[in-house]
Amino acid sequence: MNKKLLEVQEIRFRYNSAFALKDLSFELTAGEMIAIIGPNGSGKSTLLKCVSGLFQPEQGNITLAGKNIFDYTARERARRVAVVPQETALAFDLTVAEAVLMGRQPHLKPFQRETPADVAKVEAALEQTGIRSLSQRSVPTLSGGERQRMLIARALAQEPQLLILDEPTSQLDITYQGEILGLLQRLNSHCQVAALVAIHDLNLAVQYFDRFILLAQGRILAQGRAAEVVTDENLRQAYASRAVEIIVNRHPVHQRPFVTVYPKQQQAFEPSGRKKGAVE
Amino acid sequence: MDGQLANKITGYGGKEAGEPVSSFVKARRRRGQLVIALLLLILLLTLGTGVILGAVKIRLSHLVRALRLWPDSGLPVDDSTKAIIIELRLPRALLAAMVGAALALAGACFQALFLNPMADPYILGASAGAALGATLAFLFPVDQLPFGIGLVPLAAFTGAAVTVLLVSRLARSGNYISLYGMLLSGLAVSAFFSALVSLLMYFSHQRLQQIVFWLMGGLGRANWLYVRTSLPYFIVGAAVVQIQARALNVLLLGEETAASLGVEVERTKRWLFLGASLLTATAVAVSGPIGFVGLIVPHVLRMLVGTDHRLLLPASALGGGILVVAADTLARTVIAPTELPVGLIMALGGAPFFLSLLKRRPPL
Repeated sequence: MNKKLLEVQEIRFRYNSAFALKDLSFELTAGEMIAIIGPNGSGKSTLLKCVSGLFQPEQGNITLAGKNIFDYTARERARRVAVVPQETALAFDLTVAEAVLMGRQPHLKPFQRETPADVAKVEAALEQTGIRSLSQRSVPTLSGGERQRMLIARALAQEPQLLILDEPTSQLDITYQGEILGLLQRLNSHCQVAALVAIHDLNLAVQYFDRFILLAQGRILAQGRAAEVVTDENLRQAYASRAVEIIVNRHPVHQRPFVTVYPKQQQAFEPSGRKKGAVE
Repeated sequence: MDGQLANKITGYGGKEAGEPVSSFVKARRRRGQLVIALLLLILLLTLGTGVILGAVKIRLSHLVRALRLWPDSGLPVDDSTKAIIIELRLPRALLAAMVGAALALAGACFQALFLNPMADPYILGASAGAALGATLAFLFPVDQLPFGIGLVPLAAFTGAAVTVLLVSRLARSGNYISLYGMLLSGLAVSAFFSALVSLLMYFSHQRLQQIVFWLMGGLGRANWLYVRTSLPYFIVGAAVVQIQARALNVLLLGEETAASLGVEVERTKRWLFLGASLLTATAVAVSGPIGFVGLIVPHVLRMLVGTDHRLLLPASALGGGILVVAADTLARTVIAPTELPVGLIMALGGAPFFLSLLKRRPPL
């Protein structure tokens, strides 16, 4: 089970002049879950788009299951990697079942119709994500959390080895955030689907992920377990800000890192015993 | 999927209620097939009615005998009736059906490509380009052309094709066609060509009436040659878009998502633009610009068969055929023996109908 699924080697990518990703390398083994954290504009989404084959890096290699990701046809790649987007186009009125059925697209031959086996896989994906009862609902009428589940169900219907999620929780309330990440965790442990997840909420991420990659200005600043990555120094360096102060404590319940952010002016708010945190 | 494992994953426990997707998929497919069969029947009836009705009334029995649809020992049909049926009404009805089908197919494609239910076949400037071509042909007439098809449809087709190619070239950067770029350059090129047409009309004096009449859209010139010449283009265009029907479904989810679901987005887009533009150019060449068909028909049929283009495209083609044949029949009969342009009928009836649809069911 320790097979290398994804290998990113020294990739560089730029939109216009400045590099959005600079000499970035990491590996992901089959069935592993990695959270990609970092400030806005640090290259999280760009990295995910490179790994899903949408953007081609200027330099470096991305290898998926032993083969360069750009040597796959779109269809072959879609059978291994599924992307859960932040939002979905809603110009037309699709039902949940129809939208999830599209996840079978990469498995269908030209002119082939969905077989009962395809439909069964869609049923399973709806069941796993807990939205079977919504299968006849029209997508535009779904709530944010339901829509996120629908997008994950579609990705599962692709039967991928790797799920790529860009900010899956950013538009959800606190209970849905936990539900979605919990669902991912269970999918990961029961079905051995690997996942690469860009996520903003550090305190949420540390509870659900074991491995982290911290990006800052297109480079990897740190990677490893939560305790190694989510630290005072790393976060201050990554999220260098004049306006807020960042402090990392241990959470009293789960003992994992706990990040607190507060405005720099309000010195009174600073907890005692952490005086060296006031950097000028 | 093992039920217990599924429960572990959902974390809910207990089987969830919900109609099985399989029955839904089957029901949707059956409904689509039923609608298509019904539309086919209605199209045949409309074609029959279109042939019978007109300035000269024709009896159903004459039609049946003239077309040898039924072994019959009754009186033979006289030659003039037969000529009206076979040389005038029949090619005209068939051409109307083809024009309607082409416009509705193109409309359905453009609406899906642009993720906008308000898109129509002329969105890339095909009608303005065709109008410019046709106007030039009216102003500089050549008496005989090698194939006898006439200069106007040829010029209109060329105008439409050149315009669409120009627009897609303008919207293209490298290997990527921007949909917004396509939309905007379509608008700009349309406006420019329409201005050129107006300019030409301003100086056209005695040809003005011909041009104006052409611009209203009509099927008055229909004959078998028109049908024979345009049918291959229609078949190729329709086949191209039907082949891409499933990819078109996935494109409804947005280009990036479609790419991540295994669709070669740029290639698919190019084929679809090509097919839909060929259909539009063919239609506008033989009939002039006829509005609203490409807008209304896919809209109505989407309500009936849903958004699966494997069903929606053939259903739209049939629906478009029915609509234009019916409108043309009306155009020939309301103030017979004088004809109204079918484009005028369509706009007069289509616009209020469309508004009533919007009122009843607001677009998403």
